[in-house]
Amino acid sequence: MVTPVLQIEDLAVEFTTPEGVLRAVDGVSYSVDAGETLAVVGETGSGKSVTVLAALGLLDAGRIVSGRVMFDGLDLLRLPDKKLRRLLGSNLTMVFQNPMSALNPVMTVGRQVAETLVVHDRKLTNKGARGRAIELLALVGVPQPDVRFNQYPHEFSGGMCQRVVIAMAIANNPRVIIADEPTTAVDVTVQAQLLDLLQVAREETGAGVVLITHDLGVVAEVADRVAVMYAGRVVETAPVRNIFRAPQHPYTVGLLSCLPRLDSTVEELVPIPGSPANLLIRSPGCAFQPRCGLSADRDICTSDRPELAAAAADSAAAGSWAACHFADETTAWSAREHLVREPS
Amino acid sequence: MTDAEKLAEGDSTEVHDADRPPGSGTGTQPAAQIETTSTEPVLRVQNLVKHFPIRRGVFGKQVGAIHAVDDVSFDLYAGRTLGLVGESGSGKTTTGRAVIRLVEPTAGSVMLDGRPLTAETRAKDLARGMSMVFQDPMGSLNPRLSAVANVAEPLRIHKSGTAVERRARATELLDQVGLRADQVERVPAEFSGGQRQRIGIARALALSPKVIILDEPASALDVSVQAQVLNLLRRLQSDLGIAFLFISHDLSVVRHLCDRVAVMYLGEIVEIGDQEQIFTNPLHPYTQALLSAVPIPDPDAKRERIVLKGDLPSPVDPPAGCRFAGRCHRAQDICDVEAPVLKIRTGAQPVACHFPGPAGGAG
Repeated sequence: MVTPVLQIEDLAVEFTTPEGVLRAVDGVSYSVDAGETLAVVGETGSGKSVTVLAALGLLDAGRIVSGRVMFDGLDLLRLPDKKLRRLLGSNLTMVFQNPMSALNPVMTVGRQVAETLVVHDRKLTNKGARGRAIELLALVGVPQPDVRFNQYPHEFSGGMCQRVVIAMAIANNPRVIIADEPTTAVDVTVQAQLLDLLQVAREETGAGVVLITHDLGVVAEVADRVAVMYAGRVVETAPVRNIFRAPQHPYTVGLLSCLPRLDSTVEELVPIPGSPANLLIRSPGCAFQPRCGLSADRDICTSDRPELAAAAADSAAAGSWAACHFADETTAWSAREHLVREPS
Repeated sequence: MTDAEKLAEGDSTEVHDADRPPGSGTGTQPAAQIETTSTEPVLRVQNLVKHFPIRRGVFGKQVGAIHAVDDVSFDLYAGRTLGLVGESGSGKTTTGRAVIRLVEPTAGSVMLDGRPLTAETRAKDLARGMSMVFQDPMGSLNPRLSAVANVAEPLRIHKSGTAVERRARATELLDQVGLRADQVERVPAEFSGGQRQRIGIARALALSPKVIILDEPASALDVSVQAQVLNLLRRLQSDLGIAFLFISHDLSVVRHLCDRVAVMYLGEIVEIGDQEQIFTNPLHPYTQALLSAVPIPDPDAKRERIVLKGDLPSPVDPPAGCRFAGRCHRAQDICDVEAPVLKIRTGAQPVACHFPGPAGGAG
């Protein structure tokens, strides 16, 4: 049995807004194993980013209501600031969507990578750090790393900047890399390179990777396991094949059916009806119920909140967990409504 | 022979032309053939060029130019959608902006409904034929005006009807895009992103244009909302017969929505064809690389990915030969010397490549 390198348990985060208290993260639990890529998927406002920001103590507003974040036997939420800082950037690292804002514009790229090394290893000499930084730049595919070492971020393209950020993220052999929409701001051909690079980084360090994304194509390409979030909760978690072949939560089905595809054509997309949940209103039932085609106004959906439950071991979805009262009906329902497209 | 003529020739020799009016040609086609078909393109863009000058020094002397769009030609028919795809820096957005004259083209001609658009064309007349929907609806709507006033704004500027009539028309348009009558008094900030984009679309429809240029209209939206907007666009097109010029970097969306697709690279169209041709049988090595990089939402999809080497060359001083040659796995000596023109081969779509051919093949 592999013990997870990072385990988030029952995390809840609230923001106080002029309109009232908004619960952005509402009892989220997931974990990632060493050498594994967990993709966290969800739309805007699903709480996927807030979850990790809260877990790493990077939230500047908002309040953590409950939960534990276990890393190496420590609860990050109860760790003194100084100790947490020591972990961040070495054992636990992050790659953000916008590499330009993650880099210091008035410091050379090389020095920033070297600084990451020196901060966490006081014994390292300047010369040693420089050599290691150049090695790292070469590893992430920056051409002419010894020349590029002395250049500034504005002299790099967006994709190259993201490579530098990834170099910094793997500099101290992290055990967990959290990548928040790392390829959203770049072109597809660059995205393909960066996704490959993240795989290399994972193999190089053996770290567990949490990849936050809204792009199911990216998920299919790199994830081992997937957690689907909706309205601040994990509504389904499953091995990657199950998500695409036997989705158990109606929201997961909806995400797949509304997606235009490069590999097939359809007359009309099937959008998820309605609009995303209003987090200011907390209903006792399932947050997805107002948009759900499977619920068909059954009372339990509005009265009781479903918890994650395992799919039957003998079903096609063995290994999946879904938070739906009628998850066992999902497959038949989506086939009946023609919501699942056959692989071409 | 100009590129446009070659293009036209290409059109006439293509095999499956069922969904597109034939006889789109210019000079090379016999006059009789043109007469037999009454359908002319609603928008014809020929040899469009946009160079942005680079100025230096106290006197602003021009020291160079950014070649944003170079010699772009295409036809767009009523009720059809042409997709302009490419990565950042490919010139797709500038092409759209030059067509609707948000930027003044350096050279080339644009014919709207058979009439040439020139620098002298009054903005008023232009707006009646063509409108635009932008990626960020919040940035393109007036935040102080209600939804209905935003949509009525073009009508007011064009002095169409009385205030009461304009309101009625704007409410009708908002209903058409799926906003209820009780929502129309709200200001843009009170709407969600998807709803705001609907308002932007309603406003673009206000003057009943023949052509709408859509610049990444669904890119900022979540997928579930994006699907609603894409379905809306399709429905409006079939109801109203408007032609769309759809600018996007999202190839999956383009495949879903477009009849024709033009692939741009560093200011030029490198391949243009029917949606089916481009997506199932791309002939240009860049199109092939681009398609191979798009992640497919299917964990069992195993594909050969063509990894492009290096970065996009500078548009300030584009390579003399083929602009893609430096990153192309098929490039040979001629590619560095001679720029390929968009030319067709029997039964295939026009491709600007010396060695076109199926992926993996030597061409």
